[in-house]
Amino acid sequence: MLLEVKDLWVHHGRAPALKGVTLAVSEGSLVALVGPNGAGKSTLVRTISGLKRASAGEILFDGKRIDRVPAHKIVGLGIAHVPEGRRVFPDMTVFENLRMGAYRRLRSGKLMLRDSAFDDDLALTYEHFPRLKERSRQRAGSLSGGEQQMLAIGRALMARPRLLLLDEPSIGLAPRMVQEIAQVIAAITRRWRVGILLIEQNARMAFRIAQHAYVLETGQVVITGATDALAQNEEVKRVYLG
Amino acid sequence: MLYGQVAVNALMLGATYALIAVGLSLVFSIMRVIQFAHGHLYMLGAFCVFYLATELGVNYFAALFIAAIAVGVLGMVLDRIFLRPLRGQDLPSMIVTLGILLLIEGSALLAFGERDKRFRSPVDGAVWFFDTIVIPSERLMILGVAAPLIALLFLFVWRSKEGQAMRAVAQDREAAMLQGINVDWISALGMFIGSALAAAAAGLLLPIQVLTPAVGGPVVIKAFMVVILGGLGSIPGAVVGSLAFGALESFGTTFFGGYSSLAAFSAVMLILIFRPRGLLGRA
Repeated sequence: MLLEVKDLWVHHGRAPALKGVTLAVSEGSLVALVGPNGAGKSTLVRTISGLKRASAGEILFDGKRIDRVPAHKIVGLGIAHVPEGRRVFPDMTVFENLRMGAYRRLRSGKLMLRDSAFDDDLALTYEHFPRLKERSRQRAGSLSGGEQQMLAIGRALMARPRLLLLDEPSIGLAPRMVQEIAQVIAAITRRWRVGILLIEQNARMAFRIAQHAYVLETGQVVITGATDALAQNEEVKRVYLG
Repeated sequence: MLYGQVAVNALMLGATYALIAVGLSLVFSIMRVIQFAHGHLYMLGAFCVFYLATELGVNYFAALFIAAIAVGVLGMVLDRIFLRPLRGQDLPSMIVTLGILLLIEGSALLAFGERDKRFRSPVDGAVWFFDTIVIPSERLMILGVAAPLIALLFLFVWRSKEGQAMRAVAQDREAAMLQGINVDWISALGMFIGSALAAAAAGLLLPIQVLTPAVGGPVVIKAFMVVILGGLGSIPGAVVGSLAFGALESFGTTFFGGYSSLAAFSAVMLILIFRPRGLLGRA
């Protein structure tokens, strides 16, 4: 198994945000995590990527414990996190943002920061996001919301991840852009064989592209299963697919 | 030609202010902390050069280099001991830098005494330009060292891996961590560079200034002013602000005499009223 989360507890101060969450993502699969605001979805991915510490439970990547690994070492293991709100570097160009994604592979003290492997990754990333290539010299802060989301995903791909954590990629985007992002996410799973944990409020979109889904409510997994089965579940239909 | 000399003076002042201000701005942009002890690291740098050159007979330029490294390392140590445990807590960190300031000033008074020290310039004479402008050699030397140092810093920040990491941390600390950047290491590196540049500036200005343990206070106030003028956290802004402030002060000294600081500070306030985010700052 690529990612295993076992009975994970996380606290914000004294208040528990996650109360024993168990979840798994296998290699090359697309898993959706849906649920209402404040259910703890972001807390879960922030804990996986080391930005937050677990108070109990285990996180395993490739069967190895990673819940004590500092955040800046997580990406080196093969986990890239696209945070909520995109969080691109606003005063850097599109190209510079993508280069930061490959930060660990850049050579120290070198003035010329690129090599052929880097250029290959860049070409592949531009293939998914032709618009980023057109805008490579533009300031990231001046991009539209959808373009910034593409840049955030592209930046994560530059790290050559085996697991991609996507936190609310569709939030605040126009319906057409949501479609485009959904297609790209599906394409990435097929093309790069990376496992994806997709957090979405837009469960309709998430269910269409994911094979498996977890529903998180107040820090606990309440329902889990294959998405086509879940889509028939009356409760899920009523609450999340409206 | 009076104006020519005033202009060269402005450039020299501006370049040394830039060395000091760029460090303050760099540390602020990475750590969101105003390093109030920055001027006191400057003062330590000056004493370091002074004693190395006068007591130990070290060559002036070698002393400059040693002082920069030593104060840079001190900056890293201070970061490790005092600032790292408070990472992300901006206000407590700032109060801690005030504590560091008091600690350094007290120790310096004990160690060096309060009497004025004067340093003999390593170069003498003057250079004539176009038979009309006469510039004392030491001022040319200051400009000749400070300008390349600033150029090197720019090269580092915009062309090296670590420099790019500094920019990333300044723009979004968490997103930077997610790219694999070790924020603690980058902060330490920022403290090293900022402190070393302050020490270099202090050593450069040593031949034209009187040295006492009290020189740090006014320096940090001026540097802070310059950084605000240029745009808080912007490195090009710190340089532009320094050049502008150097010009204001240099012209002020010539035309307003003893009121030059008053004139310069008033001008800065006037600029900030119309452009509150500074010359190159972003809203």
